[in-house]
Amino acid sequence: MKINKYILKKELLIELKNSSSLFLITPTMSVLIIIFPILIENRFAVNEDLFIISRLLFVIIFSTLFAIRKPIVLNQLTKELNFGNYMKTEFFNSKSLAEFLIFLPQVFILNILFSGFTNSNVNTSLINLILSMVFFAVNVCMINIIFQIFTSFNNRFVQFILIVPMYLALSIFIGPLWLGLGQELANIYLLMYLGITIFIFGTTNYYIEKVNLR
Amino acid sequence: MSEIFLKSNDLSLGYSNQIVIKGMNLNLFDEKNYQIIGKNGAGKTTLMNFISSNFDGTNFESKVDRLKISVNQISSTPTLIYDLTLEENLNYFTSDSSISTEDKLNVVFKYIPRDYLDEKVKNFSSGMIRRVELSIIEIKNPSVFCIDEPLNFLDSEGVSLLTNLIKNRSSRNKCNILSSQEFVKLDDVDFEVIDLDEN
Repeated sequence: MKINKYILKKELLIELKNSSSLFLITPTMSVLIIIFPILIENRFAVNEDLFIISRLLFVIIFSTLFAIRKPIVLNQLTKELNFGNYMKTEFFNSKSLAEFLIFLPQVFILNILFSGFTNSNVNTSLINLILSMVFFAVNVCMINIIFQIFTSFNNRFVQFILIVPMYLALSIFIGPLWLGLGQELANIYLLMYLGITIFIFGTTNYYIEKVNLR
Repeated sequence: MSEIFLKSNDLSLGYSNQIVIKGMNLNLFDEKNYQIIGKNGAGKTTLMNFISSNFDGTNFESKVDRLKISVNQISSTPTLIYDLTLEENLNYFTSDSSISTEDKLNVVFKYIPRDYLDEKVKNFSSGMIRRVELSIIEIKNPSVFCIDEPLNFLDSEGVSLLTNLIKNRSSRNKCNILSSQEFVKLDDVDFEVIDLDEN
């Protein structure tokens, strides 16, 4: 696994200096979470399951906002990587790791806020919850980068429309886990999630190496 | 011993279905200097991007043989990362260079004043950005150096720094490729001209 510390450092530095996700997306989501219980109070008979589904919905919306916060311009990226003599595999792995390191704590904060404001919890063990979020975050970051470096959709709206169904598919694995499953079934779901993560990571690296993308 | 680093017969380049360069024979040697000249729209930037592997258009299945050597390009738009400081950009773009940090800084300070080191690149003028890019080229010392519109944004001192860089590289048998509308005359440096108006 080729991870370049310079690319990793650069990505983290840019995020730290701009803080676009921390200062824009997280507060927006927090406000939505605060408003959400007020909106539904006195209108619906809210049961526990609805809160779980809403929590997933918030995670998907947050992931999508995070993904489109700073679109990659492919032409500029190629120039930058060539000027620094970096390989695209190094970029993919390092950028995925950087995005994961930025994204995961925010997903945790989002979930804690959601639990706090809606006074709800998930029906699974803490380990299952953390593992499901880790897998979800890794896949979200990888799919976002694959989507941006292999397609020329740098329009935020098109990105939003196309990336939401992908994230919905990823959340299908989280749904049952959070709604409550027996430990054996939960293990199967987590193993499937691990398989998907390895598959996405492996095929992307193989493809980039094979077509010799610089 | 000079070697061909890029060879292509019947090279056609363009964007979507539109052909910009058609049926060109290209043999570029790694110890020679070249100037690509031509009018607006002749395909200078397209060819330059193709040479430096930055081309993102269509190559119409042209057969290309390319040696794996370091080719760095300074294009007409900046490559530096605006949100980072000069020092951070320097660390990022020269990570593959074996030169010590102190020596790297000494090279950079030949091109721009010391005060700029902790300044974000987005606050730099176009001329300053170009000078930083030139200093990075001097540090990295690639086998092939391509520069699009070499005199753009540079003042007389900047032009003199660029001239010295090309002369030094040329004296060490490193390839320099310039692209502009008219031939740029540099003393003591011989160029082979690739005239796209004739192609």
